[in-house]
Amino acid sequence: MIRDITLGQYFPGNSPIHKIDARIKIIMTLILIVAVFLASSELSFALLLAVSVTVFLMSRISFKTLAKGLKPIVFILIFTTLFQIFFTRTGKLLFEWHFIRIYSNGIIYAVKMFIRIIVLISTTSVLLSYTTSPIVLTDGIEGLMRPLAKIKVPVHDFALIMSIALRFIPTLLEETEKIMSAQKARGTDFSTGSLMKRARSLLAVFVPLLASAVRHAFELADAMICRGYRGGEGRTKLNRMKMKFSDVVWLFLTGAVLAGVIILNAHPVFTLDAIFGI
Amino acid sequence: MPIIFENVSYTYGQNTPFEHKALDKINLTINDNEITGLIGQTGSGKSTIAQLCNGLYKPDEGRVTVNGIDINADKKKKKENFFRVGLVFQYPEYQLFEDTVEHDIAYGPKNMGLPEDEIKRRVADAAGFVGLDAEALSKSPFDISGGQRRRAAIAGIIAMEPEYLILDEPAAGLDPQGRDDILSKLKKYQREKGISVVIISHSMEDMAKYCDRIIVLCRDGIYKTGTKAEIFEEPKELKSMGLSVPQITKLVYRAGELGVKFDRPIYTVDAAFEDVMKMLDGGDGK
Repeated sequence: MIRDITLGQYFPGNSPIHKIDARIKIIMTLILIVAVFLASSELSFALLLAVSVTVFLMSRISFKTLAKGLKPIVFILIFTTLFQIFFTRTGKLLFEWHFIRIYSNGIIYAVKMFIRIIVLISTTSVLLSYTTSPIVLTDGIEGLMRPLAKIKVPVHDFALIMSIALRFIPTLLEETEKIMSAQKARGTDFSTGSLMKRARSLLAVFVPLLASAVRHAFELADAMICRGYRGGEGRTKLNRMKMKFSDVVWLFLTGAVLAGVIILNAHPVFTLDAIFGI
Repeated sequence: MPIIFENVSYTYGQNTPFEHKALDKINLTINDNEITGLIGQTGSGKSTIAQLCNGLYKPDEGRVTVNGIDINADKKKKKENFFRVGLVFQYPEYQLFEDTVEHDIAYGPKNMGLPEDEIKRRVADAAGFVGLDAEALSKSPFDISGGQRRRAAIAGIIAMEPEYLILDEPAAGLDPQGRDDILSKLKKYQREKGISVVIISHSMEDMAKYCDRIIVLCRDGIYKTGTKAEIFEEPKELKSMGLSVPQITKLVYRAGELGVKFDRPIYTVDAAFEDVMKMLDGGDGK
């Protein structure tokens, strides 16, 4: 059913991760992404893996949810991992069968790539999509972009467009579901028949949906005007984002992770190469 | 043969944080050849029941049988249920999409695979029943008034000539005249065709005026089933569920307390008017 597609994948909760200021979360995510791409030594990957597992556990998101979120990238994950294993031609030859040759470096690169992708996807989705509601996220983006307003970038308008779009996705999904049910009750068949027939069935959904989207837009515009909306200038917020002490701590911790990755890159204490005896 | 619910449960958003049990082991029967009213507070599961009746929803537990056949037993026959049990959704006018009203009413019958002349007959019949003239039929559904759109949408279901006709809030958002107009037309349609009609509504007045039998839902399931006399005899219980008796019944109770006795329980304004006139003629009125 359409409603099962949780858009933005936000899961309400009360964990320490949920409570971090959205602006800090966005910066944290950016720092972690940089760290993931900078990481090269085994220990820095271990550190990143440990960090993402900690963040995930603290968020109290169920493993099932995370696994569901990782599903779409399974193909890329398998493909890149296999690619690394079979096409790396450096290091010690470990295995040979006809044209297949597996080298030690291939295994190492594959493991690193695997961790890189998993850490990248899981931290960004845990930090941003699962624990931050889309509206708060938009607020955070607006907060971070605020300085750009000084050079005449319409930051507020962009943020408003984004919030409205996000706000209406569930509404339109619900409406789509309702219209589809209503048309099904009139005998529309969405899943069988020729391509033309199916396209025509979809028309029975799109026309009413478009009409309702336009209706919503006009109603919303009227309602906003009635309540005195006149753009971002001089506008105050009901829920002002306040930086807490803990937010600053989070920021420092993330900075420490980045520093840790750089240091561990430069000073490899232990490497996987050693295991393969090179 | 009636529609029967046996121990039917239904849960929305199973296995998500938004899980919500709408119905819990419900038993109910929708009889043939009468108008059944389904009433209850918001969130009591009225619309869920409607969509279980034609198989749009599948019960998590229990069975729904129409004419003695479990409607969810055979997946291939799903479509037949849609035609047997016609369902008019809330605000059905938002589902209109064809270029003319006439084509939109013909959409259901066309999906049934009926021959062209039969479709024509049914469209004309249905349009006649809801009172849409030839001029309205030739217009775009986006160019007619709200009340006409509602009637066009209802005609779209009637044109499928279902054995059961379920209407979710058919009069919501209409003016009082439009309300009476649609509901009385439905009653006339039911009496002429001898089919079974289910009306879902919040309005006790409409229930009292148009329904033969009323099913009252509360948050825990079915509170009571019966004729209007049986339902409205306990106004206090109804009130505790956020429902009430019709306004006119309240007025008659109050009049009774003040010494004006009516011979029978009163549920509609028309009946009250009749009795008051009788009293005045009899000379014992005030």
